[in-house]
Amino acid sequence: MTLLRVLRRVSAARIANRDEFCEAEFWSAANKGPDQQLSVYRAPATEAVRIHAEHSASAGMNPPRDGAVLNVFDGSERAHLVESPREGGYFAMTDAAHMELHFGTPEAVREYAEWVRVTLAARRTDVARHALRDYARERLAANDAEWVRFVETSPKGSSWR
Amino acid sequence: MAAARPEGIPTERLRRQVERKRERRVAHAPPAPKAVELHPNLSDPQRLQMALEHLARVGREVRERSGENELLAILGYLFGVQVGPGAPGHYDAGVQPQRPEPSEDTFERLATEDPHALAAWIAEGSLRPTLLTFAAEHMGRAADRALALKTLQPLLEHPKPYVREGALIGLGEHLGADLRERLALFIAEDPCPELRSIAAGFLEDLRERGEQ
Repeated sequence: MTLLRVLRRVSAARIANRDEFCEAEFWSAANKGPDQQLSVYRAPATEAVRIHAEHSASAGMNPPRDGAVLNVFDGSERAHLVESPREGGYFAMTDAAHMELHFGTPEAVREYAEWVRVTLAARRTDVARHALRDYARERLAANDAEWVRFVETSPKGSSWR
Repeated sequence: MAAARPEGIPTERLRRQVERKRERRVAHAPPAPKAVELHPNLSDPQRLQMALEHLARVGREVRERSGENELLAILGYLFGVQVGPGAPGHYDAGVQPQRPEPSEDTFERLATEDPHALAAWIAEGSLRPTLLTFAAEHMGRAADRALALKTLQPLLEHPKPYVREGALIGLGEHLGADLRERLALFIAEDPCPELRSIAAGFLEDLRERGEQ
């Protein structure tokens, strides 16, 4: 299985401290602590560009910039994978692929974050700005209804043309 | 000339509440702290006015999203920061006021509702880097471009790469020809190749838009 998560900061790979990495990448704004319901997408790594593009477009990234997607599936039982499809987004595939990793304790998230940190290089797929933009332009050229609706109705849509 | 006092700030009530809280703390404290002189800033009407305006802004925001305890805590903190040791609410010489932990939600709201407060928070230097990076990103969503640029550009020198990345992301919301030189300098000097690449992408965006 592959679980993809969009890296919040591409420079996070340079963080050498466990807690600092956890705070930068796996922090819950609501709980002000390690995110015990971590957002991921169940999709193959070959869909990294699509996942990143649709995730970023939905999140209002303006303009598209270099990023990275991590395969964060660890095969352990420290977290439960819970289906959590989003509704009402611009993109049906990423909405449907959205899931959550539920952790029992903040410390379990910290341990998981440390595992991600030390294995990050092997799990990372870089997604360049031009790949994101090319993907969006290709979908628009193909008259993809989701992308057409996104660029026409989202305040940030124009920067993806 | 000092500006008129903002309406609706219950300073006397607030002072009494803070004083009561201080008395409760002192009652449980070991030895009584040494008495402190009133800070000279208290006699500066402009300084006091700024403090009150800041308190009013933050108080409105905190009151909307949380309970009175947090409001009191942050007001006590702000008295300490804005007016100085010895001010009412700056409990005693041995107790440092603690500001409640902010979150990304706070930054997101401030960016649209009170970008000057967010800018002040960033400039104050009290946010830890893992929060500062997201505060910087949200600062980029402020409508006041000049304020965003003024606040974010200094963060391009921050020692933590992910804070510089947050500042870059924020600046990416305000790309314009006047940023070209700063981005070029960043590309020439920043030690992190991922960040140089992001900045180079922004320059390319500017070229595509014809903003040389």
